Amino acid sequence: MQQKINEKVNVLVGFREKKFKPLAFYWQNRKRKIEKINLTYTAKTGRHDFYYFSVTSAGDYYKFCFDVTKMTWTLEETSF
Amino acid sequence: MSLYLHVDMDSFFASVEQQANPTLRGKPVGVTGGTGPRAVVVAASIEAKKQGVKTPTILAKAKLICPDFVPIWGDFEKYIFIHHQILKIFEKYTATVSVFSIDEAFLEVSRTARRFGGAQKIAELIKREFRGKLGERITCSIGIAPSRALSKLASKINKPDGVFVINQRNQKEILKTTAVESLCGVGFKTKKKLNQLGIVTAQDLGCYSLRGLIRRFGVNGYFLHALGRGEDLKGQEEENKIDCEKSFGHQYTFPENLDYQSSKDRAELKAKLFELCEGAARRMRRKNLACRTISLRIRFYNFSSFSRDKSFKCCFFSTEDVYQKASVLLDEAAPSFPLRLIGISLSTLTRECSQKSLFLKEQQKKNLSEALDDINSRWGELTVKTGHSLLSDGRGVFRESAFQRKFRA
Repeated sequence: MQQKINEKVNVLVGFREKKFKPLAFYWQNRKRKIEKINLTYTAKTGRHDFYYFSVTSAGDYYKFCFDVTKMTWTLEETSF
Repeated sequence: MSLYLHVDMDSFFASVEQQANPTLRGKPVGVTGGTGPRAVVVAASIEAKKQGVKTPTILAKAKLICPDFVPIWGDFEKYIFIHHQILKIFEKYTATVSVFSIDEAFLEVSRTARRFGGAQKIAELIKREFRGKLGERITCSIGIAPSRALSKLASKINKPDGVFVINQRNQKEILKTTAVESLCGVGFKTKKKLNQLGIVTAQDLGCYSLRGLIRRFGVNGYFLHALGRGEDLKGQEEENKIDCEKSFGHQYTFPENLDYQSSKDRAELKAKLFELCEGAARRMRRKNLACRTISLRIRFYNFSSFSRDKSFKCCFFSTEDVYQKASVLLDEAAPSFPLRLIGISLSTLTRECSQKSLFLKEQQKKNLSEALDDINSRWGELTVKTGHSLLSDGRGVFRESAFQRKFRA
């Protein structure tokens, strides 16, 4: 099942060839390594751009949203 | 000779969800528009389909058929993004891509097939690119045939994740064994009428006299005759182009039945009606179109339906005008039974209103609509809303932002 979290989190990001991807994140006082990016997509609200990353970390699913305008990362949901 | 590929994504929405969230893989998953008992499952995963969940179906029914069923709230932004990725892949192989729906497209590869080593090779390359760029869970079934009608039929034969070719050698045999309702364009009512004429298979349809079909189905007889022969009608491609909208509409199922006779429910009903009008009218304006006909559709608590159309001499485009006319239709109907669904549709589209009006009031209305559309496009749907919609749930016509974005000019 999926659980909504909607919590601002810190994310370590790697940049390569004009692309970026999250590598690890801090949540519940723990650093969690991102093992696989399953799906990425972008969306807009008005003219605000958002990047979404669905990832796997330690077998669990997490979905992050990167707000380009505010430069913030939000952990939107996870599996439990 | 023409050569078409029909690419049909396998359980598209559900597969995208399973790709995003690996914990859903192998489970009977369905994408819904909500989680309430009335939510409708719009797409079911391959696992759910195997257990007998058909789409569209009500969530409660899906859970009854399959107790382990996992409903997922649809994220249409995600699906539309993947849809665009898919189109980019198609465009590598041909310039003639005709989008049939969010998860289906026809690729005319007559002139490009040889360059890639044949149509089957293109199918193979498309599948490989899907796996590499979109993910291993997002698969498609591809039909290859000399016509669009046959390619669509072919893509159904080897599902999921398959390729099937219909050519001159096997065409007759396939049409002989294909039930007439399996053809694209033959619905329940047409099937019934065809069966009454003794037409059961596609081959029967193709062999039936054209004159007889025209007598029974009018101008559609030409289409059915061609369909039975596995041919496309000339001009059919134009019909399916995304710029050829014939109507704009939205409908909404309420979480609970609403009683028009109660003033509180009526206000809520009209608030939602306004949102539906705003959604449909905005899409219409984006195409620089106006309409002359408005249709109201109501479904009652017992699933019986009511619809009423009204055509006007003058065309109209503003949300206010659309709402006013829809509201009059609703008041005239004054339904005395509780309602579960309301919908509107705008048709008889025209470009007449796109020219400047001589009447100041009309021009002011147009300017206001354009200004509001600009603001809502820039800052998000329902950023500026009128008092009419305050009573509604405020979600707007949420599909608008996703499904219709691809149709934007």
